[in-house]
Parts: sequence; C-alpha cells; structure tokens
Amino acid sequence: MIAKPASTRIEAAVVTPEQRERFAPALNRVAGDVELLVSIAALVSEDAPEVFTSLQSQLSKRALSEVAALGHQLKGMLSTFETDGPVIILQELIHSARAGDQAEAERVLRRCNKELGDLIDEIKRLGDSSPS
Amino acid sequence: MPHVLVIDDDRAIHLLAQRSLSPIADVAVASTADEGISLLRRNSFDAVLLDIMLPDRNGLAMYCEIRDHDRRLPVIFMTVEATSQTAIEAMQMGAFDYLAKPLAVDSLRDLVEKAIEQRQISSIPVAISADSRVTGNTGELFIGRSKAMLEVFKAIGRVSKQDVPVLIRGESGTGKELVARALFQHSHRAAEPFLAVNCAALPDNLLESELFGHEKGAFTGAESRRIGKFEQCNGGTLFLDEIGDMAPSVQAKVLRVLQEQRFERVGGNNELTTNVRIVAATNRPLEQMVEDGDYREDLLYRLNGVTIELPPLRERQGDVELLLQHFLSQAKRELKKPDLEGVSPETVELLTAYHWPGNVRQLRAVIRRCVLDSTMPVIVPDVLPKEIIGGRQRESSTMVESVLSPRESNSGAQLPNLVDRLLREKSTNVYAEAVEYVERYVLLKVLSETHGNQSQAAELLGITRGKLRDRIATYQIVLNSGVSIRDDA
Repeated sequence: MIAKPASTRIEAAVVTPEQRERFAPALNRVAGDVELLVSIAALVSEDAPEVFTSLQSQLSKRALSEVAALGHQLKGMLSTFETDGPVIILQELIHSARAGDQAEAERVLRRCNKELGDLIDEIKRLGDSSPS
Repeated sequence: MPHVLVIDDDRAIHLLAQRSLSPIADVAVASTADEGISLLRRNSFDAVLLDIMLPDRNGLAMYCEIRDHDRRLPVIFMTVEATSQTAIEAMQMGAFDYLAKPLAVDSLRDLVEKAIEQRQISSIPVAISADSRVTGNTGELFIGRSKAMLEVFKAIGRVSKQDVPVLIRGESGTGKELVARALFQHSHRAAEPFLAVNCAALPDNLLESELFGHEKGAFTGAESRRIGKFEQCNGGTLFLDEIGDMAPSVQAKVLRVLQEQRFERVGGNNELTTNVRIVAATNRPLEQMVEDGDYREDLLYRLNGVTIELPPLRERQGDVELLLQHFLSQAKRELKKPDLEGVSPETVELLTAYHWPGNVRQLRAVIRRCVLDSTMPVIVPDVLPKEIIGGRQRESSTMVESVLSPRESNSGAQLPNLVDRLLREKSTNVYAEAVEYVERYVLLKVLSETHGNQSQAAELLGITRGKLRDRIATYQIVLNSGVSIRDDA
C-alpha cells in the first residue's frame, strides 16, 4: 500500500580509523550508526556523480536555472558527509546561477571542481566499506 | 503506529528518515510532489517531511496543496539553505517547523515526535460525556457525571465560542490538555492552527524564542531568522501549558500580546501583530506567586478572566467506576484482549477507595497495566499495584521515604533499588517517582552547596526562584543551618 524505500542495509560495515576520523561529524549526526552512514554513502556515490556531471554540462549550455537546481540537489547529497569547503562553495555557485551571472558561476565551479570530485570519491570509498 | 510521509528527491534522505524514525513511525516516501499528493490522498498520515525544492514543484506550492488536503497535518520543511526565505514564509503560513540539512538523527526524531503529538492534540476529537456508553467513538472521551465535572462541561460550552483567554487549573493528570483541546475544537477557530507549548520544558531564553521567534544574530547560535509560535499560530489557538513556569521577561511579552496582540521577535525592532487566542494551564498557586513577587499580577488577571477548575479524582470518586468502564473497554480493544470480561467487585471497591495522586492519567495507566498482566477473564485484586491493594493514603511524593530512610533517600544512590522495587510492585508511576527521587536529590545537593541560598541555587539549577520555592515546598525541604527533608515527610 505504502511505498517503502529500497533496502540498502549493509551488515557489519567495516570502515577504517581514518574514515571514522574524516567523517566524524557525519557519524555524530547519524548517532554513531556506521552501517547507516555507509548505506547512505553507497546511495550518494551512485547518484552524486551523475548530478555533478549534469551540473557541469548545464553550465556549459548556460542553463543557469538548471545549474541552481542541480547545485542545490548536489549540496543536499554531499552535506550529509561534509558541511565545509566545497559544499560551502556550492552555495556560492547556486547564488551566482540564481543571479544569472554565468561568468561568476563558471569561476566558482572552477574553484571547487577538484574538491567536489575528491569528496565524491571519498564518499564512494566509504560506501564500498562492506565486508566483502 | 503513526504514519509519516517523506517527500524528497534524494534517496539518501528517504533511507535516513526511514531508519531514524522506524522506532516511532511507519515511513512512506515520495520523490516528487505528484507522488506525495497521490500518497496523501490514498493514505492517512500524522506528519509530513517536505523538501523545500522538488523536481516538479517548489516546496511552498506543495505546502499549499497539503493544506488544502488537510489543514491540521503538521508539515516539517527540510532545507539545505538554513536561511531559506521559503521556509520562513511557510512557517508564517502555519507549517509546523523546519529542519536544516544535513539532518541529524536525534533532532529529526525529536521534531517528528513533537509533530505527531501535535497532530494527535489538534485532530483527535474530544467528546464530552456523562456516560461511558458512547458507541463508535474513535476519539478521546472526557467523562464524568459528578457535579464538579458537569460544571466543567458547562464552562467549556459557555466559553468555547467566546474569543477570550481561558485559564485551566488543576492537578497533574486531571485532563487540562483535554479541556484545551475541547475548547479549540468547539471554537470558531477550529479550522485554524492549534499549537501547544509547555512553558516548563524550555529554559527561559529558549521559551522566549519559541514563543516570539528571533532575528538572525539575536544571540549566539541564532544563525537565521526563526518564526515563533505567536506568529505561526496567527488566527488560531495557542495552548500555553505550565504557564506558571515563565520568567518575568517572558511574562511581560505575553501580557503585551494579551493586551495589544503585538510583539517583536527577539533581537528585532519590527512590531508584529497577531490574532491568537490563548488557552493557558497551570497547577501552580499563581496568587501566592503574585504575593511572593514571582508572577505578574496584571498577567494573572488577564489570564483568568475565565477560569476552569478541574477537580482531582479523589474529589469525584463517583466518577471512578464510569472512567474504569471506559478505560477498560478502550484497553481491551487496543491491547487485543477480546476474552476479558470485566473487573471483580473487590477490584472495583479497591480502585474506588484509592486516593489517586496521579488522577485520571494514573487510573488509565493502572487499568492498562492490569489488562496487560491479567491472564484471567476477570481482573482480580492480585494484579493491582501494591499501593492500591495496601490502601495507602500517602501522597506519591513521600513514597520513597516509606521504604528508604531519609539518609538513604538523600544520597541519590538508591535510584536503582527504587526502580527495581517499583517494577516488582507493578507500579504504573515509575517514571514520575524516579524523576521525583532524582529531583529531590539534585535540589538538596545544590541547596547544600549554596548553604541554603535560594537565589544562588536557582541560578545553578537554571530555574526561576519561584520554581525553586515551589519545589522546596513540594518536597518539604527544611532550610536551616544545614539542608534536610522534614522527618515526618
């Protein structure tokens, strides 16, 4: 009757001490539930690269309202794991896209492009932290 | 189990909400506004978590559609932009609250719990009856045929449609919230919001912000503008529970709203107007507090233009049997005990003779516990809690001393023993008694530290002096060269 989200529960997730430290604030937000964080990472690492690629593509097509919406979507996905650095810069990208400032939006994306890619990779590695 | 709908295009949010809320609710999810509306039309929900930006609609448009469908359904906005103007506008239109992303499990669960409670408060009908044999009643029944309760019912009927503040007074567990809900449901404002705030549950500065809102930067941690309950509830009814537990600064602002329907957000200069009916409740001696200088006399007179006094259950023992019948049939249905036939005459006699310090709430809890524990078709005295079988007539606040010496009770170390004993005795008041034990210990400890200085103690405890004095009286704490509990307490 009521649709349920797909089950993505990962049993006995194994994360490295470095990952625990890197994502300590995120782990704190999920009340220390490592399995939940790893499950979310697995979903975000599937969805975020596609959104990031679309964002880059829409920016090159000067479709700024799409860029603002995709930036918003990407910020929501990534902020579960990181609230500083590239995620803050994403907000600048959203503002400039909403303001219709193509040049500023391109400049901001260039500034955070690599960091966003690195963050998505880190989330992917966290999402892969299942025993097998 | 309550039902919660999450509308967000992020699958990770679906997963987070489902896993976080699974202990308190069944969670359904939708990725678009259209899917969400479709689910809302086909199912009944108790709260909605709504993303501010959806692929097919913006959050505000979606919120309007939800309101058109069900005005009383609490909607919590989720936004990755904490200062989102849309979220503020939604709050001004009556949305329940908003959460900033990234979501934190604990705050998400707390807020959804509050929303579900709000849904129950504002939507479950309160029927008033002098007879428990009301068939087909799916809401809550306000029962009593004693003279005192008939007066309460008449007062509700008299004042519900008048747009005046009402003060509800009575001991804990007598049903003050039910009166507030009945007043709201029978008022001209029944289609508008009904919000409840427990003034004792929040520290003074947070209470002020909760009621009046705040501007960005008004205090440390005020990262964005927040809409308060007076603004959010415009056109509706605001239930201020425990109105006696309010700092003087908040009292002054509430008085101004009562007099002029005007206020400012904390840290703001703009004067805002609101049209809110206030229903307040307390079990505190407000007149005494006025004499002691802890409560504003002008606020008291504004509040108690109409007062409804709820009698304690011990003063309407004729109603116990009526309430017993009602709670029994309710528990039988809800706890799935179709074979239960009733209660033995001896059990009825004991229940009627008991003094019920926790009032109707305690009676209901005892009946449910008996229904759960009973393996026979008839409830016999054996399944009753010990305090009822023993016919003890002492107040619950002194029960700890009945088994523990004052020295032991003051040490704080006996809490596990107390809880074990209460569980053994099948008490239905474990939480209240454990909290009382801890509260008394904390008060004695802090008062000892300050050598009985109440101002310093109140400051350390983070409560008002009035509240501290009230607790000192409740626990019969004697302040002399040392600090102690009266021996005969």
